[in-house]
Amino acid sequence: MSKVLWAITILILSTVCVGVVVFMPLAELGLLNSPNSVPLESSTWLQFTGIQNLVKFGRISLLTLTHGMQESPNFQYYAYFFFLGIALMLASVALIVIGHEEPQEKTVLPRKK
Amino acid sequence: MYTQPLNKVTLALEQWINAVVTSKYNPLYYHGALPQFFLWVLFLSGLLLFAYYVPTIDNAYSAEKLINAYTTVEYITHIPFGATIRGIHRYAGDAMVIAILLHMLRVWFTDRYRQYRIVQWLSGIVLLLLVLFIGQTGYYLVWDERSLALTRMTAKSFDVLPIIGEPLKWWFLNGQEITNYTLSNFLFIHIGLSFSLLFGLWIHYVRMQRPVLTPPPVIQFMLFALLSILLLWYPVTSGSMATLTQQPTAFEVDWFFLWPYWLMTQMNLQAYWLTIVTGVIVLCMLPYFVHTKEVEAAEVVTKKCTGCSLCSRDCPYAAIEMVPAPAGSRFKLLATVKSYRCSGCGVCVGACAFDAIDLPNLLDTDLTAKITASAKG
Repeated sequence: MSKVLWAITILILSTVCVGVVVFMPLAELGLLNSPNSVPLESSTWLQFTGIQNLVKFGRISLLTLTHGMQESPNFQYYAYFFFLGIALMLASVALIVIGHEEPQEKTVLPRKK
Repeated sequence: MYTQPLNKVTLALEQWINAVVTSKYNPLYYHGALPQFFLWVLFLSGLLLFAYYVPTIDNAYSAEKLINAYTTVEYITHIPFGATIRGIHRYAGDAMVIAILLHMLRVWFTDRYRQYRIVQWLSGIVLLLLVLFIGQTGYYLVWDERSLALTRMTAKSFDVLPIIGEPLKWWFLNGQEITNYTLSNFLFIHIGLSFSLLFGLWIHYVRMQRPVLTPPPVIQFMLFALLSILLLWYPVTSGSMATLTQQPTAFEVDWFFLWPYWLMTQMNLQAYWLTIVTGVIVLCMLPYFVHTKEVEAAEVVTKKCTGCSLCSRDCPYAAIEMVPAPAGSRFKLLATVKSYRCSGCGVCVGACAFDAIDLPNLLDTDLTAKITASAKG
């Protein structure tokens, strides 16, 4: 893999990883299920950046995927762990990609004098 | 060797994973460390659950304000992150059993369970049985209908055992019948035996010079991530609260821990115990079914040994012990080989700079050729 391609891969992985981590506190707030629970400053910022729609889309997607979750009062905590898991997974992939470039261990036979 | 084809499959799998994630992050190279990772996850999540758990079956205050094992589990499920911690605890247990079974199969297929590794194999079986029993006690603690059914089935299964059956039942129930003390006992068994796993692990590792105890962070992240994602799809739930006057007729089976109870329903209890005991004996005897020639242990050339300890440090099986040199020697220490631990691998021969340790019937030059060939292969 060329250095440029490698750098781009790492950059994309890191950005997505940070992006997912941002979702964690939002997930704990129920993924905007009750907008009142979101602090005003964050709410304005979310609206301004348009992330609000993305978060709502994430909530609907997760609820659709997990049929039994609609009723659960603990949805936000499960969602938090879900995004934590995704972030950890991406971090692992990024570390593997970085570690891939390191030289492999080689067998060196000692020579007796 | 009958495990050769299976060994080829595991080696092919190893190479395929190496091609994807490199040997540094191949979980197959940390198969022994994976159960231990899940053990730490279980200890930490269990500690949080223990902080809220009340081990009683009766109401502590009044019928309206019922506080017992079941209601505390319900309470844990509804506090922030309580349900997720409970889920992590449950699935980490399942994952631990999977990891132990994979570890067991791998050491079996790669023929690393016999001769000088017999202590690891036997202690591993004891550890697996302990893990299964500890996991089952975890299901009793929830105190829903399933817990009651499992408790009764276990107590009933002890009835058929001669001599030890009655004392075992008494110990299990902490009395003649199910009372508050029964759940205290379950909690003690669940936590007490979990800590005794550490002692078992010490025996499991005692003959290994450099056991791999923890997988690299990347693998730890991956495993924890899988647990976290799994929670959303399969949240942990409880059944109805156990009522001593009723007998539950059906319950959901967790196949990792509760398969013995399924077995109980398929045969009479005498046959059940016979199957379990025979299974354990066959597992223990597995290393003795294969006849191979004795390992020829390394030998120390006393006159040449300088007591530098290099061979002792390099030996993977702790088979070389440094003892005080005999009177009149110029050196302080002398290497001695514990033949029952020696695998005849030749690592010590390579480590010694003074040609003071040899493998019988194998010249130094032959050994170098052998190592070179295996390194190239």
